[in-house]
Amino acid sequence: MIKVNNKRTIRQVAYRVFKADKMRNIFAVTAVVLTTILFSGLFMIASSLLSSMEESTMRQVGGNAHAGFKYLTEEQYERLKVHPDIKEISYSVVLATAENAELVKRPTEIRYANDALEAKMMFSMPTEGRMPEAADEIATDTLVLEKLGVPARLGEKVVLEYSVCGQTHRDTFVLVGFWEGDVIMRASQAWLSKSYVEEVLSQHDLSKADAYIGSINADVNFANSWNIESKVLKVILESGYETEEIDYGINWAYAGGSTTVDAGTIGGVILIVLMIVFCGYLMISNVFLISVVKDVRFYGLLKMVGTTGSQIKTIIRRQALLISMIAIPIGLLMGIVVGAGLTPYVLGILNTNVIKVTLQPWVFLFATGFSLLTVFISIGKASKLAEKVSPIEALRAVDISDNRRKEKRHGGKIRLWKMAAENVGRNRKKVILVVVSLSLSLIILNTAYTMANSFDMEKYLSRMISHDFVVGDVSWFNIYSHYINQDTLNDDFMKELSIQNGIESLGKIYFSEKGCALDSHWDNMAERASNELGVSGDWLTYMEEEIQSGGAMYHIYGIDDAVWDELTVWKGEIDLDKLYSGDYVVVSPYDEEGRLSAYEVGDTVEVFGMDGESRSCEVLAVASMPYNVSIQHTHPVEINIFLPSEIFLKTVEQKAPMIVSLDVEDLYIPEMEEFLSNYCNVKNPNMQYASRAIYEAEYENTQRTYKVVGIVISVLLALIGVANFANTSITSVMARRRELAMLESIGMTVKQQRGMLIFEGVIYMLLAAAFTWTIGILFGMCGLSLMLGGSEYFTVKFTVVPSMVCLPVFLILSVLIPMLCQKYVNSESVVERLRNAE
Amino acid sequence: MVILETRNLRKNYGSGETLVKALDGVNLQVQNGEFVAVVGTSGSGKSTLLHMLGGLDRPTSGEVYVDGKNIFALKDEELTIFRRRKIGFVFQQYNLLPTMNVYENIILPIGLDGNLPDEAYIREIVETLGLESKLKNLSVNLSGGQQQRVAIARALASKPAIILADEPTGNLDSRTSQDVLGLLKVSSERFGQTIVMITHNEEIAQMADRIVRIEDGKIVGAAND
Ligand SMILES: Nc1ncnc2c1ncn2[C@@H]1O[C@H](COP(=O)(O)OP(=O)(O)OP(=O)(O)O)[C@@H](O)[C@H]1O
Ligand SMILES: [Mg+2]
Repeated sequence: MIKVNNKRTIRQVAYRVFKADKMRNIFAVTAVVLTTILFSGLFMIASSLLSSMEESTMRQVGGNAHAGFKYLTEEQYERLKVHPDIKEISYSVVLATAENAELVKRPTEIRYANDALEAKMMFSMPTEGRMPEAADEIATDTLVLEKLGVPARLGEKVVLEYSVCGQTHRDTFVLVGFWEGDVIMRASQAWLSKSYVEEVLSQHDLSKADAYIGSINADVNFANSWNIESKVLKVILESGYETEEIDYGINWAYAGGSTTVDAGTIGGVILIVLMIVFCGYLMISNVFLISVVKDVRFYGLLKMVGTTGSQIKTIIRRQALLISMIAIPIGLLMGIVVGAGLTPYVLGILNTNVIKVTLQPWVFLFATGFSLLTVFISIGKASKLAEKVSPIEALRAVDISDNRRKEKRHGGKIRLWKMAAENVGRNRKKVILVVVSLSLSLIILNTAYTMANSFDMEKYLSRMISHDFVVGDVSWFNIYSHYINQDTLNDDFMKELSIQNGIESLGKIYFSEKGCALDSHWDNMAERASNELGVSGDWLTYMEEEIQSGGAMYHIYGIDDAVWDELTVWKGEIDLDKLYSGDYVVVSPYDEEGRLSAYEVGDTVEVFGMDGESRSCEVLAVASMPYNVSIQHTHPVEINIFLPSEIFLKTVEQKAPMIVSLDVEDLYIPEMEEFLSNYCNVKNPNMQYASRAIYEAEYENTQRTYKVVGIVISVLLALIGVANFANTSITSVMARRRELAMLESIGMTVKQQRGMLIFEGVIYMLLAAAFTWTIGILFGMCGLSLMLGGSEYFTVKFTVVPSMVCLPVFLILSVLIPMLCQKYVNSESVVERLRNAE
Repeated sequence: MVILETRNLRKNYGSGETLVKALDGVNLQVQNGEFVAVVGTSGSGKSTLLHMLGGLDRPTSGEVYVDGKNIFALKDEELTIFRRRKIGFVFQQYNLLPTMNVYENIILPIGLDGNLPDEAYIREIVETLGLESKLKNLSVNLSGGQQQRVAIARALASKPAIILADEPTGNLDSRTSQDVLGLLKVSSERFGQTIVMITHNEEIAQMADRIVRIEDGKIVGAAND
């Protein structure tokens, strides 16, 4: 006989077995599809996260070039650029930064680019029109154009102001190209022609200017982004320079996953991967195990005709492979869709700058790899079982099919319940696993829903904004800069604002910050803050030092009548008549809850006025003003004094208001929004506004995110719970199969068996429900309160609705799964079909 | 030359009160090329003996030598390979693989061993057994007699040294039984195969070179020993 590979025969047998067991295949394919969906969904989100972070970094950096050489001379550039390792190189030369008043909020760099490649590498390539060539041409982005009030249209005139070496220039250019601006980029580019820039630079002695003015900034791409720094150093050294001679920078978007993804995220991903492997294992291994048990005669037969254990293993493995070949592509497709759908929510929670759904090739690779791995781990038990099947099994009479159907109408139910309960009691470990994983999914779902529901819009909005609109200087809104006397809300604006339609109330708030000496009221404030408020650490030390030094910050507010109502009064009473006399003031307590105050009603406070003079005023009340209309920074020793606007302007300082709060009739809100948007963006770029609508949208977004993520996690847990439950059910059925003879002898029919299994399932579900609604929800709520206690936007609203809604689903499953298992195990195995065909 | 030998072979099922001594110290020798019929009452241990001879199940004690080799000293894997090369089985219950067609069933053990079938020889067997027109049929669609013939064809296909048959004609009519037995005998003579066959049919037993009788797990009388 000629020796050939026996693989062909094995493959054939495997294929035939595969084809024969449609029901098993449907179960197995479903299990593998689910597993693959989980993996590809996860990796899809991870891929989107990575590329979103990379893109966010690139956009912050302002380019996608691998590295850059800075402050080069022409000669250096020429020598570097010919290095063979460099795949692409180009450069730009900085002339200055635009100094147009309209551009204070948008740093704009004025440069010329060597070519279009440079513009592309800096994400500043005109999408409309072209790069400038003639001396009077300009290309810039829509953000700059918007600020300058120039329509985004080719041929428009653009005026730029800038200064070089202290000398101011102002020139008009023709717009020959523009592109969509990107707020994430720290600066915009205004491209001018080389001829113009060189002409201006030649008028100045650049040795006195900053090093970056007029020098070459080269951007470089290598063949790949691996170890960019060593590539850069190699280019420098091999071009005949010392590393100190050439300034270079690496684009940190390419710094590699290690620096952009922290250990927590990696740990989280690993945990989820393990969870999915476990979940997939439970599902897939059950399906295979049960099919081997069912077809044990078939495998015995194979053994008898001379199939070795390892060949049988191969047969099982091939079946798994065939199932994977069908299931994995389906799972990949579905998982990627699901992952893409969930990406915005997950990235929303992770607070990335950029939210971009990206499918990278490794998603396929990893998802396929992990799914296959899970499949092959999962079939281990089943293939071991099949491998060990004795050939004698083929000859054993199989004693399953019971067609006698003797049914006892009475007395059966009670015994079934009892037996089911006994079965459940028999393996406690499994009971705990099933019950805990099922109720955990219910609890998490419930908790997530509660959390989303408890996210209190009113609280959130009242904290963020207590009016329809708030307008102020940009610096007031920006946590990194302070409002310092900017008179942005000047008379012109106030006049225009006042003639807008539908204004219900308009409250101006004036603010003046003055240093002053502390009076004796503060002597023991640090001690009291420590004792009564529990202030400690740096803040306390800082406070003690400040009090010691005797310096303090007076925050003097002048507020319109409409704003007085918003104050929360802790002590005393606000009496506008008295306040208008100018002899009284309202002061704020030290803490937001009004527990501690340096001044009591009736005390005297020195209020510093126009010319350094101070007036003694009596404290009329202790009250707090909402944070969202206060100055946005605090100081350990600060005294907030509230006066009516009129008195403020007369006695403290003559100035423009810090902010204006507006309430507008609903009908006119869009109109007002339009007016403010136009005013802030075009007329006065130093002005900014916030609206309730913006915060409402933000609120809804956050709430939706909590819900979606909560649902995803609980679905995952539910899957594990159900798979676990199916596992117990199957094990139970398998055990029953062996016990059948015994059970039959005491008169148990297949139907009764099924009843018993269903009762078992119901017991599991009842246990899970009991656990969920007692300890579970309690713990969930405690956890939630603990987590949200510190957050002022939440009012915990207890609810069990989501878990109530899910329970029927679980109950149906608890009946359906045992029935399916039982039906499948007791369905004719292939060998029996043969026997019955006689 | 002795090709099959058992030494003090015992097989017990169950324990305590339910202990069944299915084989109770069997010593048997079968010569190469011999045709042995095993007879005995139902439950006497015939099938159990055949299983032991073929290495399908392990004995409680004692040894089985095939071609001078103690087969139960082999590991499972080796035993399987040894079995598929040396022994062909024919059982009363046909035991065909239901998912494969007739031809595939016949050549399965050859394929498992990584060999190509001897087509001419297979054709000869198939013709002798009258299965030419059924080769592409799924085995489940055959009649009992046809299935039995396929099982015999499979047992012969790999030209094993020994054929073990457990009531191979139990479900066949007498004419077919004669054909099947004739084929077994012809084949065994041609290839020098040894046959051990269990039967309840005295007439069939008479065709054998030797009859071994078993009662209560023991060999009670053996003609021509
Ligand atoms: N797997 C088993 N478990 C328990 N007892 C068994 C098993 N197989 C066989 N026996 C018992 O061993 C004894 C011998 O059985 P065996 O099948 O060898 O008889 P047999 O001679 O082939 O009978 P038959 O002519 O009816 O086929 C019987 O009493 C039988 O009940
Ligand atoms: Mg028998």
